[in-house]
Amino acid sequence: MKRFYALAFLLFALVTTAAAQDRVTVKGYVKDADNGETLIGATVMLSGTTLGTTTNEYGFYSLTVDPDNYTLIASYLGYEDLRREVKLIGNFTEDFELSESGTALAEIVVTAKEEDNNVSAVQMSVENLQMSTIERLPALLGEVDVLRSIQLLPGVSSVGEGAAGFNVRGGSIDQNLVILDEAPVFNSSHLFGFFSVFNPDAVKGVKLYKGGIPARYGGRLSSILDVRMREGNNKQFEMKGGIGTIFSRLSVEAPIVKNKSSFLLAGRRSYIDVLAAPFLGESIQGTKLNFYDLTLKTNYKFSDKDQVFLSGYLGRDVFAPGDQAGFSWGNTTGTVRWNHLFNDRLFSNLTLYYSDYDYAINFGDDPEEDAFDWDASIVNFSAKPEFSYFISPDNVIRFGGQGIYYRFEPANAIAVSDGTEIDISINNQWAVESAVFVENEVSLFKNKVKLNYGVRLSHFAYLGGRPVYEFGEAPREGFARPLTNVTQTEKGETIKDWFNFEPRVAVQYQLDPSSSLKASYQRTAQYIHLLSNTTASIPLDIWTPSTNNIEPSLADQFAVGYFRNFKDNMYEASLELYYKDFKNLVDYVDGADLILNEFVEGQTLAGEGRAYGAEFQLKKVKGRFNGWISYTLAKSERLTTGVNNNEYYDNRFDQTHNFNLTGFYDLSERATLSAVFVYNTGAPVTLASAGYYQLGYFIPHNEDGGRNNFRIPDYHRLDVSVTLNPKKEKANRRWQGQWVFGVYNLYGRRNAFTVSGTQSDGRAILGQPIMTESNQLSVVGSIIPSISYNFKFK
Amino acid sequence: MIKSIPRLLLFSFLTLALYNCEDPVTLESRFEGPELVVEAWLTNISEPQTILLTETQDYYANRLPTPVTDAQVIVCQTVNRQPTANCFIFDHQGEGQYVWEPATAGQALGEVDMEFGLGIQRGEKQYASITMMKRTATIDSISFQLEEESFGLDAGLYAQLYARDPVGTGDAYLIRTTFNDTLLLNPSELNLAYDATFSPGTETDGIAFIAPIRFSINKQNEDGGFVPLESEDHLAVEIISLSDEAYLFLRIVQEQINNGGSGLFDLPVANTPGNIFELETQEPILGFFNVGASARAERTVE
Repeated sequence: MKRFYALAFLLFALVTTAAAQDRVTVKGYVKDADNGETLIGATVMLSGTTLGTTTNEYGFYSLTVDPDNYTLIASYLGYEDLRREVKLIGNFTEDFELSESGTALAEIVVTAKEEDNNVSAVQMSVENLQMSTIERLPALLGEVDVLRSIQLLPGVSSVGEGAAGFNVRGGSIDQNLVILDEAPVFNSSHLFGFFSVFNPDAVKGVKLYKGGIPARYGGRLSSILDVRMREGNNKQFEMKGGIGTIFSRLSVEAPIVKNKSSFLLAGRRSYIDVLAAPFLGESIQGTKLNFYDLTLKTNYKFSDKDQVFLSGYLGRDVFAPGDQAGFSWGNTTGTVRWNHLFNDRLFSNLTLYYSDYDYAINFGDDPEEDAFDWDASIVNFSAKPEFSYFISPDNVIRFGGQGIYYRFEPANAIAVSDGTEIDISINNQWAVESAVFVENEVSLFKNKVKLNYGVRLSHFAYLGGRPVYEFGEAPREGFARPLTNVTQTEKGETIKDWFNFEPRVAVQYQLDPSSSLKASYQRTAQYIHLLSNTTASIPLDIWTPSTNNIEPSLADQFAVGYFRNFKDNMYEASLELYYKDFKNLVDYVDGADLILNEFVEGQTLAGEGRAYGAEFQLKKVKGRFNGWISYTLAKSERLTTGVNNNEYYDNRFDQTHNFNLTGFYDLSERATLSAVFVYNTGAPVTLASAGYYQLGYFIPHNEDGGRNNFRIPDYHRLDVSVTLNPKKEKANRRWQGQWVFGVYNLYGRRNAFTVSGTQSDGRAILGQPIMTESNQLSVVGSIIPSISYNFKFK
Repeated sequence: MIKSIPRLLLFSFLTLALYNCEDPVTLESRFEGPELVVEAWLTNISEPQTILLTETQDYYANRLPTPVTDAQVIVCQTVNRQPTANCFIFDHQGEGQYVWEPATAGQALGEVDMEFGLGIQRGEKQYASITMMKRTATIDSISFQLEEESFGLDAGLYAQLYARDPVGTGDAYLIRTTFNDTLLLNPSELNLAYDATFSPGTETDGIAFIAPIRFSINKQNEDGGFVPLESEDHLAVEIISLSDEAYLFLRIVQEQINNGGSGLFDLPVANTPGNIFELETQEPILGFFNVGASARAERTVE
């Protein structure tokens, strides 16, 4: 560990001295002129040179050049370029405020990046989606949804419609780190997987790293989904809202001190219960069924060198059928970030966050006689300092670290049975995860080659304060391991710990001005695991740390790609190939008992996995008609001793073919038509071939012992929507209304979620045959039209 | 339960909120061929004990199983897996039923804590299994109580089984109800208990069965909702002790016969792990051997 710190400082010292002292630095922020929101990934170029840079996650840029007279050009797709003449003789600050392109038929922002970023950036396997794009996608029930939209990107699949989470390049859902302003969100769905927990009014944009994950990110094997919240309008008061089929939304934002401080407060609530109330029988009149979320963000600019951001999120799903039972779950996060400029070239950010996912369930009519009360949570606190040192326009070094403290509370539970109270709680678990990283991005050979290389050294300690269990050999392969020893441990003592060295490399080679080759390698380590053996994850699933019985998971991924832009960057094309290898994936014994089980570790198995595929994408980023096509050819498999006769089997989310077409067309100055077509290979499921009787029951039996041995029919769906914006002559009015008319599943296909064999309805009688049948379940079985109204007031 | 009740809640939530639908489909048969199935669930009661030998069939065959009639079946008390002189011959009495009848009043296969062995010979092949008889719970009473209407429950009279788990962990039970002479066999009516709750891992011990288990002896409709009792209804309840292997077996049976159809929350399809082995290959065959201690009670609604 010490050696690693030394290495980081050595590197830092090296680059500091290497930079020539007589050069000058221009730095500043790039923002939206309309509302003061910082623009992430905007370009700042020196006119007439190839020198330039892009703004970081906080809209900051820094360019160090030889003293001279320059023209700086700031640009951002969908915005007017801004030029400034500057005489750089000493260090200088230059902020830019860009205006959105004025014409109504102007290009729609499909990707908000440097125009030829697709080709010229070193980063590969990354997808950016701006809210302006997400908002135009036809949405289920008209509800704009951040997470559903990323499923239209190549390399992203799911176990099916309505399932929570998403799967990236063969990774399970717990291998995605979903962060909202740096704080992890452990369950990103409302109502299982139908709606994501992010309020679109509060989100600036999302960035999905599928591979080539920079060293500054870690903790999950497969992807990072970085959701950034808006800062809030720091120019003037603004109110937004909408009335949809599921949610009503309202947000307010305003400057607190103009240009220095602003806030954003956004809320949503579903109203199925309100609408359904008249139709519910008397017995369930008291039924509560709703979900809501609240987002708050504020920032204060203390000086040109210091700015602090505060963000908070609270979301909850509540289901209570009457007074005798209740069930609720949700996430809470809080983040404080402090941007500090040590000097013109050294930018730092310190993040402190708190994140909590919890659920509570209770039932029973009399707390004294018969009751059941259970709550569970995963709580974590983290500190994450990060530094960016802009050595020169083509040499940036980043370094920093992270420490996370975890508390897992799998169950605080009591059951009262016939007046006797019994505690069925599961002991808490504690752990500390820490990491240091260093990462350098350089351009070499006159910008012919760009390199981002780095390393992350991570450490995880499973801490004591509870009984530690040891398990013996399983009586048979694939069976639970019996408990053999229990040791009581002291709070804070390290029971077991691990170090992992995670190298990350990405390289880009510019073939010609409009095409490039890229390659990347990453190793990732994951120390916390979601215990779930249902088809889709359920809100009751619990997270567990790596323990003396569950090893951390590791993954290695190699990717290569060819990137090309056409027609003055109007079209962006990419082809990527990847191979991924997983170790120590958590699997489960047959009949695993994962809920309320103190000895759950004995029910786990360790497996391996592999995933490989090709992803093709073609985007048209400008013009009256724009959109993208993506196609993924992939395979994702697992190997676990005791499952599938000890051979590789397909993951439930394995999709051989996955094709998406997303298009936007401006019908007129005020109307846009959007359409999405999705096609993918049917998911693999396990079906029994035989059956036998026992104790009067008819038991399914899978003769070949195979897992996921049957493919359900292919999935395809077309969604369309029309967005109607205010008339041009009303464009300056303070109240702006927008209508969105949508149809989800336009041709009403009953897409299969699963096919299963079950016992037919009807009473089973001893001595008579038990009837069986096979059925196909469709989660969405019809056309779903929707109308929503959105407004803006300022 | 405590484990599937939340799942049930989730599912009803989902049904309420969405547009899902189920369509019947016809699948091509993937059945490979019949295999021997042994059904040897015996008790310590002095009454005829039956072992059933049948064959597997296509899952969608929708018929009674083919009986296996050409085997010899024996059960012995064993000590350290070695047979004693106390053996019981199960004679074939037709339709794959191999029956042992007590020779004298009060004669039974054995007592709690005894070890038993099962031997089957069919043609050239021999099969064997060993199990232990574990203790059962003590039934205090079956009570009838009026319940008000609540979520998923109609107002009416329902039965509750008051039984106590003996002190010491590791007791597992199968609870069966015969309702007006019909054994309740719907998938949702397969009731298991482990130390008074649903499963091990909660470390609960020595108390009365928890409320959902007490309630589980009621008849259920097709949707898993409880049916209120009517006047003259008769309930006979039996609690049979299970070995740890038998509990795991029935737990997987319970999951598998109730699985499917909920889509999002389905569990992986898993085969039930039998405890009867072919002697030559040491491979487990289908079916199970358990000798359980039985506790019984019955009551009629007045």
